[in-house]
Amino acid sequence: MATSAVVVLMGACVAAPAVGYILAPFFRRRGKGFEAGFEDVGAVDDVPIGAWHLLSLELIEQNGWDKRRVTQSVWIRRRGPADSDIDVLSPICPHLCCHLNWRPDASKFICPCHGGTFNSDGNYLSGPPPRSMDPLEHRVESGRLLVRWQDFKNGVPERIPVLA
Amino acid sequence: MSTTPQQPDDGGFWESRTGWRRLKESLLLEPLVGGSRWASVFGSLLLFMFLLQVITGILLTMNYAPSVETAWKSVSFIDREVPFGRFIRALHYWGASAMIVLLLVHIIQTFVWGAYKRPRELTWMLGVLLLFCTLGLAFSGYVLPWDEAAYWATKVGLGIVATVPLVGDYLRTLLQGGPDLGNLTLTRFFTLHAFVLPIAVALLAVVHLYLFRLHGVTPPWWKSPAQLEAAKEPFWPGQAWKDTVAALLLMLALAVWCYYWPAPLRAEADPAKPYEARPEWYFMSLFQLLKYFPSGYEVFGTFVLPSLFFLLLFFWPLLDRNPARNPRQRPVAMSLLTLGSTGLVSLTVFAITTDTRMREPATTVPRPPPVAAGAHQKLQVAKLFSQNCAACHGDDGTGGTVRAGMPSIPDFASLPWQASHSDTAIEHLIQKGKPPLMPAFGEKLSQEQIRGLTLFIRAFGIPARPAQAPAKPAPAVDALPTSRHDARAAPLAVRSSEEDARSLLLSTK
Ligand code: FES
Repeated sequence: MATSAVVVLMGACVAAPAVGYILAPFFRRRGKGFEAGFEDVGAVDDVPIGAWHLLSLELIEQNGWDKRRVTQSVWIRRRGPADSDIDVLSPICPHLCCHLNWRPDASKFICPCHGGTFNSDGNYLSGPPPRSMDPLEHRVESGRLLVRWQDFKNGVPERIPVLA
Repeated sequence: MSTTPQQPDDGGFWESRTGWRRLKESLLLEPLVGGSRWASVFGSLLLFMFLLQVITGILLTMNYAPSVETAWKSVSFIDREVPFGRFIRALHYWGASAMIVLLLVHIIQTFVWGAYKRPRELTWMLGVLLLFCTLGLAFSGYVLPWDEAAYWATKVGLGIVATVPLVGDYLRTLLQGGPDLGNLTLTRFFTLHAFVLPIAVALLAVVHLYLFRLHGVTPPWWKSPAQLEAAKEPFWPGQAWKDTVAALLLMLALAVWCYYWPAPLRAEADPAKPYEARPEWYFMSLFQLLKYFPSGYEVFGTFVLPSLFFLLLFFWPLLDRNPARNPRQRPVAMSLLTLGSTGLVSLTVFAITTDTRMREPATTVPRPPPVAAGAHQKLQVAKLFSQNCAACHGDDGTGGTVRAGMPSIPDFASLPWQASHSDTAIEHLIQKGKPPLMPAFGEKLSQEQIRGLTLFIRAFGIPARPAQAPAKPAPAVDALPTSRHDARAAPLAVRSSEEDARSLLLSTK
């Protein structure tokens, strides 16, 4: 009996720190995953008015010890010449995070994974995705389009930002 | 009476010191009721495959470096440069598939045979856990090469994990290790793939084998005890021979397969580049299943059905109280098996045959019509070069006067040099420098400027007039395109053919 108690105690001495160690991702000490600032996507005038275009932005991501530049892409459409006529959508499918494609032939966004579709405004049409595509905050500053990258929780109807 | 103590016959030097003969006997002379059979080689084949995975895995680890920066490069190095690297990686990659096929055969066989029934329930349950761990190994190993396929498949896999009710998000964070797929994901998955899961498999397999030996092989149901007793023979040599021959055949088949079909390695992962995520064939049924659950019911496809399936499989020996082993007397079990396996097989076949992968999305990066470069802009890149580079590389890019004193300085006008350096390589060299002499400009110059310089350097490789001897060409400054899209597109052409490049550059003038 006493021996088992000792063994359990010994086990606890190893297990407790091990569990803490494994849970490290919940105790991030270096703040935000990425600086949720507005990143430059390009000159607004470079984007032709009309169809959707895939542009990219660079953000600095802090991933534990690792701080690096990560490139993400975003869907952008200019409905007109004004700065307020710009739509920016995240290309990440709200179902299970595949990269959504714009299909000009069908005028739809179609998910290459499980076939979810969205209309030309990014609103949900059919398939497994639980909600419409996620718009991203953006603004125009001296002719440059700035977009703020954001991940959202997948697989739920509400749009919940994932606090990185 | 003799006074010299009688030495017992202890079997010789090694036997008396190690007991190896007794060990061998207890390992190999296990009696098999009903005799040796080809049908019972699958368990041994699985053990053999696991050992092969361990060996090839250890070999791969010698050259593999799990980090975002190095994973893909090291795998590509294994494939291209390490002798037999491509073959070893193919063995490891296809070995996983072979293992899953064998597992399915082993499980179905055990099921039909009724070998999970009293007293062998626990052997079965451990087997289901082994299946679970093997699928875990397949999933965690898939991300390690860090190519596009790995990145997106894992992104979706973690998306599936996140849909688990209540704890999904925490589970994903735990596996992912950070806010997004990255270095911490790779090191975590590597730990799982190379240590945690293989050790779990090894331990489970030992207990699985121990229980198997304890209860003995399940005899054929159609034979009487007297018949079984008459056919009884030890594992060695009959069954051992059959197992070894089967393993050899499997190894040969796998080797031939791997020789012709090396493991795929796609482009390095890039989150900004669209890619159609597809799982391996053994997860295709799940993939297909997900398509059938409409908005709001996803969790049934991602979590509820798969876990019900595993729970049913795991607890099956406790649920099936029918003592009969003859399949004819087990209608419920047999129809469930038929239903389950046709379901899985048809989902898989259907998923693969109907999968029309969409090609490149029709609209990607917009390419605005090329605009003639402004004089100021041209001047800037040329100025950058003369300020930062010309001192060593010379105004003509050949290394000029310094070349004699600095034998390692490249000649940008040489076509072999141009051909052997990709744009990325040149950009990288400018950015990071090359000790001891080439300084790094990453801090000093912007990405755009470095790209411009890369193009500028490319231009040295193009002789001014086609007919002329490859003399010192004047850099084709005029040809520098304006937008970064062109800057990306043009050098590609330069690499493909000098002639194309010239026409392309001329057309942008
Ligand atoms: S990930 Fe887009 S439909 Fe499933």
